[in-house]
Amino acid sequence: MNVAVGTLDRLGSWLIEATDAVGQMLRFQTQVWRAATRHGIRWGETMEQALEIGVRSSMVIILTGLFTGLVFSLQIAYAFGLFQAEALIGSTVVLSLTRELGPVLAGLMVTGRAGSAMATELGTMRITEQIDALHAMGVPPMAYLVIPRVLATTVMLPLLAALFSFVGFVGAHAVTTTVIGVSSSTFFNQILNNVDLLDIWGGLIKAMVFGYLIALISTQRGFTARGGAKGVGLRTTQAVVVANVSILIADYFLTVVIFNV
Amino acid sequence: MSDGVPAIRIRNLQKSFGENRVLENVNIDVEPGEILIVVGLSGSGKSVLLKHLIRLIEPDSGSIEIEGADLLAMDEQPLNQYLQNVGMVFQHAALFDSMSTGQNIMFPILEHNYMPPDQAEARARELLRRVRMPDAFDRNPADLSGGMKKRAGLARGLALGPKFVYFDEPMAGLDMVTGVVIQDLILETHREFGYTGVVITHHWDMAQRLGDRVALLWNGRIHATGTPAELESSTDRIVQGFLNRDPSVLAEA
Repeated sequence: MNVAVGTLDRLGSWLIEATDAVGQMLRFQTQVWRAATRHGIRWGETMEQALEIGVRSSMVIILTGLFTGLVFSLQIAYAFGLFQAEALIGSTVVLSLTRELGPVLAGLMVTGRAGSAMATELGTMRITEQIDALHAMGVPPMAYLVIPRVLATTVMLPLLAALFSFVGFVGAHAVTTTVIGVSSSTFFNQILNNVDLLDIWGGLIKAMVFGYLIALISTQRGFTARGGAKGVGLRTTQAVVVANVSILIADYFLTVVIFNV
Repeated sequence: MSDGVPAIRIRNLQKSFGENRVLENVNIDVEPGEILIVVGLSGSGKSVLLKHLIRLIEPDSGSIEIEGADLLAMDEQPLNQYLQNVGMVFQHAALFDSMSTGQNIMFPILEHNYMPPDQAEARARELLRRVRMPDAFDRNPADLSGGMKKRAGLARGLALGPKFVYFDEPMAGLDMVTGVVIQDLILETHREFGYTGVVITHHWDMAQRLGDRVALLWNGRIHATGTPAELESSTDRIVQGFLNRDPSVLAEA
């Protein structure tokens, strides 16, 4: 009985905390949108952030995309080999990359690299009063720090997801044609037959939503940090965990809506 | 500004954080061009009071007038206008560590299109010279000592030629010699720029040296105000207890 009450108590506390966190996030989002309409977009800072997020994340995206394509085509080859369907490896890999693996894995990588950096940077700026200093100078911190990061990540993640899928495709092509022995023309023909534009656009739209979520969650955790270095560390961890879980949850619902499955 | 209107008028200011009442019925006037020193023990609400003056914190009740205008009723544009007339020198300087020291000083100038970039750079170099850091333009704030950071923070605060300069614990964490240098700079820049200053400190020697008037903040209330000499000659038990660091009185805070 006591164990059941304790479990219910913990579950209740967790639900209250989760609801509170969602409420804080929605309030922060409202502030971001309001600041965007009042102060507009700072294109210089947005370009800087786009370069920071895009260029500096590209190497990790290329590496993870390449090895995902390599290993995924090997595994698919094994499974399809059981019923002599190796010719479909190309289209299966490309569908998986464009619809799922590209946006999701690129999102997880960008969270680890750029989202954590956003939370840490803004958290440090908060506890060292640099955000207060911006306000004191009449520079809206939301417009200067948050909006450029949200916009840049929302725009850059689809490009990174496309890069991931392309590199994964190159890796898959290499393995399928050299290791598995499927001809290049078969590989491409099956892709042309089975992959349509919605598969590509759907994946890019997913990546755009993931980019928005990553930046919103990471900047919110950093922007509202308190409690010194330990507090910043905690907020960075929260940003990464919450953003990653949000990507996976959002992915399910976006798949249902976009691909109507 | 019309004659007789204080530069800053604070009336019945109240602020609580949860159950903790930090400011209670605070009333202060700051006359144009004077330096008001707000002294008090750590945790007495001094920094909270200062943050109200730049609307970093909103009070629970009360009013703040800046040259007769209601600060708390200002919307975005007049508030922004006012903030461009404020130099805020933070306790730990709050320099942007993504920029060089010189860029920190140029930042408010360029943000508000106060000058073109070449003139902004010249002004930043001139301000660094005034705060006795002529070679610090390209240095990273992380490489500066505590005293240098505060001087750079002062230079940034003066970048737009402000009418108001607010100092949050300018001597905190500094040795006595560096503290005196900061005091000298405040006096020099005040003479030169003629700003209205509010300085938060718990150092009485600083209050004596810089203050036209001093306000003692005690348990969230303004307990006494006057010139440094008037407070020194006060017979009030708490004033004397604060000045003489009487443990029995300090324990009441």
